[in-house]
Amino acid sequence: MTVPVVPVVSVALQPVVSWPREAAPGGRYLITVDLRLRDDQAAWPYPAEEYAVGFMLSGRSHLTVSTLGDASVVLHRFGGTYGPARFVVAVDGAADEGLHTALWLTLISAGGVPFHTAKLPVTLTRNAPVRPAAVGVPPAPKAVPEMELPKLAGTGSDAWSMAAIVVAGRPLLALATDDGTLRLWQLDASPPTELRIGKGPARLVPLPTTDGRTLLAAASGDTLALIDPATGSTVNWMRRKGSETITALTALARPDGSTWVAVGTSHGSVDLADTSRASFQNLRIAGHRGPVFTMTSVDSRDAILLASAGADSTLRIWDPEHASLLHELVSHTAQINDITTVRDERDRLLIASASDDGSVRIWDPVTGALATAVTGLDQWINAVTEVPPRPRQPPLLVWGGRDGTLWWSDRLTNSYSVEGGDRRAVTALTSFDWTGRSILAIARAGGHVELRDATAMTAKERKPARPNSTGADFDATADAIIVIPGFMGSELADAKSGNTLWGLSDARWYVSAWTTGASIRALKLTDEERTGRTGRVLATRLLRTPAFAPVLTGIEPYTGLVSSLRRVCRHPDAVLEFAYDWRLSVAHNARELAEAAEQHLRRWRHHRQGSAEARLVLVAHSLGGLIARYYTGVLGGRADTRLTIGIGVPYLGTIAAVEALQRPRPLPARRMAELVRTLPGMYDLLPFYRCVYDERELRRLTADDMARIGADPDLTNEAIATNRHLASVDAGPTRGVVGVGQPTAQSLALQAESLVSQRFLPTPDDEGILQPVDHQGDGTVPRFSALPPGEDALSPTYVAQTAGGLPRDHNVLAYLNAILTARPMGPPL
Amino acid sequence: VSAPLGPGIDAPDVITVGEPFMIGILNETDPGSTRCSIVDAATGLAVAMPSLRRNSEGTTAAATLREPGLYRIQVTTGSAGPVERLLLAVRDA
Repeated sequence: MTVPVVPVVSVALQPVVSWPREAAPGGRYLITVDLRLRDDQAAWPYPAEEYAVGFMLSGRSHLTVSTLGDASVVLHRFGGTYGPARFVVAVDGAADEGLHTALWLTLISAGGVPFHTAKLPVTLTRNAPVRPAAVGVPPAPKAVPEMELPKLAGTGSDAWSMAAIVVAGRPLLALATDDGTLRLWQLDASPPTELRIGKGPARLVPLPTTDGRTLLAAASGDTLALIDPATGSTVNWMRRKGSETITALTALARPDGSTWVAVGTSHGSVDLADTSRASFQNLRIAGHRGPVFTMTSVDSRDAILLASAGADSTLRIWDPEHASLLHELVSHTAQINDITTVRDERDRLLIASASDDGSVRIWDPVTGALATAVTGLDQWINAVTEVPPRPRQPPLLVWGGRDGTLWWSDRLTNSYSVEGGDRRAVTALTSFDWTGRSILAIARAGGHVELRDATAMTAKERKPARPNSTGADFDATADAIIVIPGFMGSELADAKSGNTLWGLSDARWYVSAWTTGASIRALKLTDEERTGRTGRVLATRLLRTPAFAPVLTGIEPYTGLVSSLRRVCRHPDAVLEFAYDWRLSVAHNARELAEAAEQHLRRWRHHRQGSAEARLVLVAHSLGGLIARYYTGVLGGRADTRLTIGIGVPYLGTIAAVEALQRPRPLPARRMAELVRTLPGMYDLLPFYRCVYDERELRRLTADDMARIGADPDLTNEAIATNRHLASVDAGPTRGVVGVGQPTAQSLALQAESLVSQRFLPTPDDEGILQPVDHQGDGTVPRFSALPPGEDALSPTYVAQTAGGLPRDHNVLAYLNAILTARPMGPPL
Repeated sequence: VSAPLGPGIDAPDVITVGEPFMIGILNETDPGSTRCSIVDAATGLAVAMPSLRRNSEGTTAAATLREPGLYRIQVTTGSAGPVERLLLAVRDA
């Protein structure tokens, strides 16, 4: 097959612009834009004697542009125009003096194609000259008003994986197609080279080598092959053992300069392949709950990160060197088809993910934060790519949908341009540089590939109906939500050094900390802190990785809970993560919550997606539920709170707190006791229902009981006072999520100098005789203790789950979303 | 006798590497479909899938972990999602 190359006609232009390089706030300025030929001796390439060029002038912050007359000029073959286009720019009167802003000028061909953009810097100053002088702007590159690119014929098989590389100075487009074939296309030569890789859909990724070449890693079925694109020959190949097929791959640079290939499989595994040894051995690092569809690597400032996504709708960020999961990002509600890296305005590498949920989301792979999202696209999004920064142009993010629609956005915001639809599905996208131009390659169903010149593509300010919303077509809650974690559920750091004291991502820290005790000592409450002079330790954020403490077992991260809640809000800003120093008392942290809640509600009511009618919904776990109750019932927060949802909250306390405070026992429980005996937050979890079996009667726990096991009687008495207070307050509507089915200590028996926990509660039978009854619970909180007390308590929900597992249980997340999106419907139709 | 309130896990919170330990599985709603696995909490990668033993006392699984670290026990039975509990493995508990 011959690929025709059409000669391109071109002429070089020089824009001449008069604009105010210094402008006064509140001022208005005339701007003129004209054109001349850079070389007036050059041959005129067009059949007509005149050629119209349009201008688009837009203002950055504090500048508003309006057009005077026709925003175009007509260029004559003899080098001049019939007069400039004119614009007026108005400067915001409230803009700060000294601010550096800019105008952006875009030149548009007669055919409507943007072909050059120039930045016109403007500084705001009170002493701006009244009339600016005419100044030439940087010349345009050799303009190509009507661009022609080769037409590539279809392959007949869908290409879901595509990349462009340079071979012998020329671009080469590589497509991996569903028939297990790798097709290599020299864009200015023909025909394509076809290489059969294996059985099943093929995938590919460029693979830089230490000798400066670029190979292609291509996979199909269980086979991974390394191809030299210069010769079309196979350099190396390996076969993966087992029944899984390779469904995604990416290249992974390693600290020693070598490059590995990371592969994702049909069963959800993510493996590393050492291509130099042609081996998959011992390199398996992690898994998804379903096939992996897409992978990429990110060179962050500190490490090479690996990202993978697929059918389970999660985007996972890994540290491949330590084989650890850094983030499991669960904002998408349907499978993720493609991910790619993209740079923001500060040149940070982010990850864009495209999903069947009709959204493209941008993530910070280092923090796991959702940076922005384009949602409500009403289309399955198959592919996404970044067109790298072009001269004086920001990066362009392009994505394509299953109905053939193409979108592009140049500021990573929820405004974009859109084109097409009713065409063949976009299956893959990639971009590359060709003779100084940025070319976008679009693969469509059937193996059709088209090339677009993206050098001057810019996004117009087209916003969806609900800009920056979650794009939900359900009735998203207008309320402000606060997530209040449980005991040990916030990361803590030393205020002076910034060192993390609790919540480290490395699981080995917990092994060392609870056996040697060295790292735990810094968490003990000092005498100063006990007298109220806090500030030595700062709560930085909610737990991001699993943590562990003996007796209380594990504390799971809250990332999934927060992401899930943000999906049913009008805007992610509606959700506040309230991190607190869990070592301190419920009363102390409730006062901190009151301050944070007041600020959050005020901000949300003034937010562009917020509502003046918004109230608070408190979603609290474990100890966080007691803090929420103190805030609503004691500190008056009830007035601003629509609902509190308590997940595994020990409203009546937990026997586990007594177990944690017991006299010295074997390690590592002894370390736990040494730590928590100093912490008021632990005492506030003590059980205050009739739980002590003494002299054939049930009575309440006393300070003397606690002194007997080595605990602090003063802290016990303070906790008793707090608990009595909480039992009698009117805390407003509260729903409980109650964990059941787990063996749970429910009562205590006095034995010599210890309190022995029992997995039952002596409960009177019909004749009033105490009989052991196992109510079970979540493993930490007995079932009856997790029921919110008071008249405003609403029907609880029961889930078979442990205390730590409740905040990440899918049934719990679904229940919370249902509560938050429920609306009164009136009588049935 | 416990009420059948859904699957439950009865296991130690800290274990010694190299030494077998028992996991009790409570309230099986569909014994034929019960699965128990232990995954590395950092990676989500399964490190053990102990086989289940049933007798008159109930269902148990015996497992041994080779490396110190933080692990997650996951039990599924019937159509219920996994019940999960964290577990610390140390050299000498």
